[in-house]
Amino acid sequence: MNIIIVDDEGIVRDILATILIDNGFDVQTADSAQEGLRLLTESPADFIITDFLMPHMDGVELLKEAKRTRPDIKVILMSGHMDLDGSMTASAGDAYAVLQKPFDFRALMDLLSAAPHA
Amino acid sequence: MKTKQPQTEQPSAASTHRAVPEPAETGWTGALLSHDGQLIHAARLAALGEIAAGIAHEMNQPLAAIQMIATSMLADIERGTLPMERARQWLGTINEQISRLSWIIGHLRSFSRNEAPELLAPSSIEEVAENALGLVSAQMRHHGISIELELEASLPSVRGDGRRLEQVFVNLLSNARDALDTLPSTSPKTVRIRAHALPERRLVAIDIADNGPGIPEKIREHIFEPFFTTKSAGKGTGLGLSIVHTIIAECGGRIIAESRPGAGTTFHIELPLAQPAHAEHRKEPTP
Repeated sequence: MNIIIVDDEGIVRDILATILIDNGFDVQTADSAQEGLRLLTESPADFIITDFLMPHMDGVELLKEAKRTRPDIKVILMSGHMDLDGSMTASAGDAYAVLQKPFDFRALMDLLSAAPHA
Repeated sequence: MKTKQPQTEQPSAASTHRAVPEPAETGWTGALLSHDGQLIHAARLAALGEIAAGIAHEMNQPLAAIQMIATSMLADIERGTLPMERARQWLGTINEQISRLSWIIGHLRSFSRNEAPELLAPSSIEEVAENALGLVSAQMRHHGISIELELEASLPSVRGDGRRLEQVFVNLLSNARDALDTLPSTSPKTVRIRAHALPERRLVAIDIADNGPGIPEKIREHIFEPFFTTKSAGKGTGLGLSIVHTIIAECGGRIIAESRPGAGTTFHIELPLAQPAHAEHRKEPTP
């Protein structure tokens, strides 16, 4: 399974990538939504795991743009507790899942394992 | 770093550039604030309140890292697939993230403490800037604002209470953030912090500049007055810049604002060097 991780916070991005690679996934990383979208055009990604709150383009905008070009892409949004208000939660409706940071890695593994193409 | 030519004089009096007059010129005196440490402390806590969400986000990142690692290690241990080298690496990362959290908590405690200021103490501008950025950088990043820090190497210590000088930086950076938030989301948003020594004048010059919309001319001369604010009700105390002015004056320094509509605002600060006795005292080895 191919996964693109998008997070402007390097430590979270790198740790998540290392753990997913250890667990047998093919992983690419991006530090911005724009870079994540660029990777999406070049790779057969099944999932995007993205931070919610990022400068210039946030996770929901990334979700919408990714779905526009790749309707089958599954997007997991990672969010800090304080990031989501009601309207943002509603606009995250097309997300495969929303994970509140900090989260149990095993919950992410369950989500990935349950995906139709896993 | 490259040392730019020192700006020892006020900007030229082009009609679009205007230095903010000293409060004495506007008829306002800083008496309300200058002797009221409680008010300065209250404003510091209010400033902290404004950046609290950013600090919470900053603290959430190491927590997220730690929980991801810990739960991944648990899963690996249950499967019997955790190599010792990986365990050692993860524990080292957890330790680093705990240190990061510990720094933030310790610094929050220090910043919010209400202690008598050490107005004559030597303070490092490098330390002041780094501490302030530790509090506001996550929020600035999430507002799409990049920060450029350009400090001359081996800046001498300035005279002033480090915590209060940090309050100056936090207030000015928060002001810059609010100004830059009014730009379209696609516009590049930058804050530049520069500092260099002017040894012949025995001071350190600091510029904090944003590329925001600038300050309208009709309000420019009022910005350092207490309770003057252009922000909506409930946002800000209206004391931020007046407290900045008071703190700088307490140190024996001065601050002026240079602004041009559409081309941003620069606050020029000059702070006197620490007294030699204090500076020497700092160099004494610990017994």
